[in-house]
Amino acid sequence: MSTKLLFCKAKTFIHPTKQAGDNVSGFLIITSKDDLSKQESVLTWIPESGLNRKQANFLNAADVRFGGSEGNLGSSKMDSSILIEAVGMPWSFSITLRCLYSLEFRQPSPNGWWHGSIILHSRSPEEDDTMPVLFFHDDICPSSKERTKRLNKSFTPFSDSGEIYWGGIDFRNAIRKLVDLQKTHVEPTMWLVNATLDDLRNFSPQQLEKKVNLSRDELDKSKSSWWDRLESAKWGVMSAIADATSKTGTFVGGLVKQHPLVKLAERNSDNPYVRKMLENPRVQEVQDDFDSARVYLAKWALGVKQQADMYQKNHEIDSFYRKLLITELNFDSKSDVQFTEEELSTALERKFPVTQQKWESFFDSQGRLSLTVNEVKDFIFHGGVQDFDTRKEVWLFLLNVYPWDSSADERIQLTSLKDSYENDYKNKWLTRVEHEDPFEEEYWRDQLCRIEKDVRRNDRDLPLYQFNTVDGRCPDPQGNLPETDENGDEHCMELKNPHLLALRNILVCYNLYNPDLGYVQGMADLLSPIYYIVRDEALSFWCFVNFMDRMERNFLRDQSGIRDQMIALTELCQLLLPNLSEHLNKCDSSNLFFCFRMLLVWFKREFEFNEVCSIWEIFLTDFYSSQFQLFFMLAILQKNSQPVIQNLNQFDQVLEYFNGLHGTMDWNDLMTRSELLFIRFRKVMNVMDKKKELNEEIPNSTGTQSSGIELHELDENGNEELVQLPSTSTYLRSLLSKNIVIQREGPRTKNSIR
Amino acid sequence: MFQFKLVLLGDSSVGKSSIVHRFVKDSFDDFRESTIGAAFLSQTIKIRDTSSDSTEDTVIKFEIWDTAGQERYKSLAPMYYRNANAALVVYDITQQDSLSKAQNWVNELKNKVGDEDLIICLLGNKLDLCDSSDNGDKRAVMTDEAKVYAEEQDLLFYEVSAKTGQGVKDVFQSIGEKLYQIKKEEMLSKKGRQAASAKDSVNVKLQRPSTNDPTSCCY
Repeated sequence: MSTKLLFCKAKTFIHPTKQAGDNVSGFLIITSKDDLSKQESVLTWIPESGLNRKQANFLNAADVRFGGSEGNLGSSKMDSSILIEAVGMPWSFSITLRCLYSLEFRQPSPNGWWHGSIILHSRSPEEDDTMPVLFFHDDICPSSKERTKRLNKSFTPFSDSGEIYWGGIDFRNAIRKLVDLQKTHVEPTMWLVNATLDDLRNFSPQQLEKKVNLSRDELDKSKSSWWDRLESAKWGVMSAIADATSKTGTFVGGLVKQHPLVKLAERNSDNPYVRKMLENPRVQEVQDDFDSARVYLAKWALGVKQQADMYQKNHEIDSFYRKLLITELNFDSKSDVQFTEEELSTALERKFPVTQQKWESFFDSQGRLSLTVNEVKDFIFHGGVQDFDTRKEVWLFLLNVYPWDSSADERIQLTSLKDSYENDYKNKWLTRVEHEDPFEEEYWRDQLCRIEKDVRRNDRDLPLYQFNTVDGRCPDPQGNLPETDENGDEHCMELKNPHLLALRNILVCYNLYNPDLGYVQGMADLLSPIYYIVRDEALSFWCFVNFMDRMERNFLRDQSGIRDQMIALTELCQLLLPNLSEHLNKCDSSNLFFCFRMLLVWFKREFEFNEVCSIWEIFLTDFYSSQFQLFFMLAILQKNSQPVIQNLNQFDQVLEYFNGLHGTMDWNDLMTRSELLFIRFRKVMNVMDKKKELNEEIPNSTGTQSSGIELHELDENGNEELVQLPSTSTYLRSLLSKNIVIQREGPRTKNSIR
Repeated sequence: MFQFKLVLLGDSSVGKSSIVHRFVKDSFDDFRESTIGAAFLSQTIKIRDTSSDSTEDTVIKFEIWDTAGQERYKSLAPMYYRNANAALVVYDITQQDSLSKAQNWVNELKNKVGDEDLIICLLGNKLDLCDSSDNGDKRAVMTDEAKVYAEEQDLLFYEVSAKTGQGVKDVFQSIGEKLYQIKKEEMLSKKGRQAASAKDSVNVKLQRPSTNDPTSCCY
């Protein structure tokens, strides 16, 4: 087991007293052990004085190397004795990255009044007090000097994030490759490590209003446990002045605005180049102390104001959207069923995607989930999965190929699944002998033919499936589309693209796995995204098998599964969208037949491929309901109810309208609406249940008085039978369940072969 | 302007969607995705009325419903073909089996719709696979075989290629003319009875009244 050095920064100081002479210089390093996950990497601070010459040389060289590598840190082997010795050294400390709760990055002042610093907060409060504030003395740190030089040479004194470069940014870039790091909106200097959804929600802009007045004081108090009181005070005063300036344009603001540089900046406020130049520390260094302070203040004020404006703008859009949703989905302010602030915020804040680092933070060192499945699903439901590689693993869990309680080792053992696919299905197919019954044989050939026909035309606009070549690549590097082959017909060509072949193989094997169902059009659509993400024939097969457990009901010969969903949807619509429901009745469309395609293949034809993946992974969580697709469909109905009610009055028109929605819908907005519609539905059901209980308890009581709970929009229409509907409807009740609905095709007979 | 509803029926991947796209967008895609449920498109054509004095063409609009072919979805078809003025029943001339499927559709239309004014057109597609002598003829259904059947059943009959476009426009043109003819006769006889009321016949929607229960044939 060897130790790797992932990051090293020289000349990081702790300031035990106010006296500069007492400052202790050291190295901030991050190390990892070969076989442990990135989450287990260790952050260590070692005082320079405790190291022997060889060790110090090694770390100094590492610092220079990282400084010269454009932030691409890489890693190198390290003698672990340094770490062992560090334990006994004064001031030294170390912490495993997964134990960090948050990091504060405090920028240096451009004129050198104070150094940039970081404050580490641990998840355990006891440990928190042992970690001193670390100051980055960039002026004497070789790697920071090198980076500054490079950035200034290219006239971009900024890091990628747009901040003025300082040593702490190198550290932040290194650590965010290892763990999930999220900037908070409340306190821009504060970054959360592997934040829980609760943390993220608490630090979100919605909470800002409540906290903004408190946070500065609180934070100042909490972090002043060290002797950096003075630094903090300075920092606080500066930011307070900046705040005041931006908000009120007071005396200081006026003073600042007279400065020639500020005037230049204002005249050229649209010119990003001038702005960048002005923000360059070197430009500011030429001013005397007083002037530079004013420029700094002005710039800061500008920045703060911009941020404030931006926040206000976002917030206004946000609150506008909020109000819109409340009026559109709550329907009636008199209603007893209202959304709470918390429910609204949760549904609205779909902005914390599961990144690779975040996903890894969910697992312990054995690769077992350290969160509850529900917490993980909450993340996926409300943020989605960000990158492709992570999505593959997430989907293997969501589609039950990986058990939620498995360890990393156990998941590796699942190779037996591959053998089973190869031996039990694929080989069986490849070595199949002709069936003695000619009828059966004809059926089999027909199935193969249908599968091939649909695979051939499945998602061919995606690069993965586009070219029918052995390697799946474009045969002509000039990018010309291949001519049709010598037979002049693509449809007679043998399938060559390995991914199309995999789709075919999986569908044929599924036919052996589930012989009663047979191949039905639409199944290729369901397989395509799974294979696209999983990219492994055997694993995709098992994912598809599990997916079909819940989707088989869409393909039954008697259409009963899809009919059940339409009935449930019809009742939902009557309950939650009574006006639309009534209008659809008039249009001969109350059976909601026009939703057929959307429900059958889970909106695959209405959205772009990537959007489909995002939508499906949310459905697959079963976070609220195993039939969440119906609430998504309901959201589409709700969103379109105005134009439908106003303009359409015939069955064909309604069908045409909903058939034409492809590519016009915003799935994020619809998902927010779906969630709120579900919450409303659940509340209505609760109210109904209570009402029912009350009625049962007091048998004599009749009607409105006894219930005490009214659904106004229903009662106003005088539809008493509607009120009866939910508590008795098994269709509606099934929507509250998170267990998937399984409906199987009956045995195949000669009359039902296709 | 007159408006007619037209529906396409036939086995899967005989080229229903391709024929519609050739007619509506004059384009062809080798890998058009399978149709799920149904797709809707519309297109107008002009009809020259030779019998009338007017030199102006009459514009008619087709509202076209293109359906999924697999038999599993057969029970849904009535949702689409109800109120149709014309049905295109498509088969693939390189697949013998697809003709018998087409014949099933013709029977169903005659039995279930039972409307004498419903125009049914039998359409053999993929003519491009049969005409070129150097590539080998893939034809499996002889023209005469289908033609004889069409005549027996009183259907319009064409062989077309959605890929090359051969014959596609003619099909819709002749259906349009025939529908227009029927409409005109209908209006004339109406005129005979009620001379005054026929003036407003422009912009009339020609869909038949809907039945009260659209689900009756489905569930």
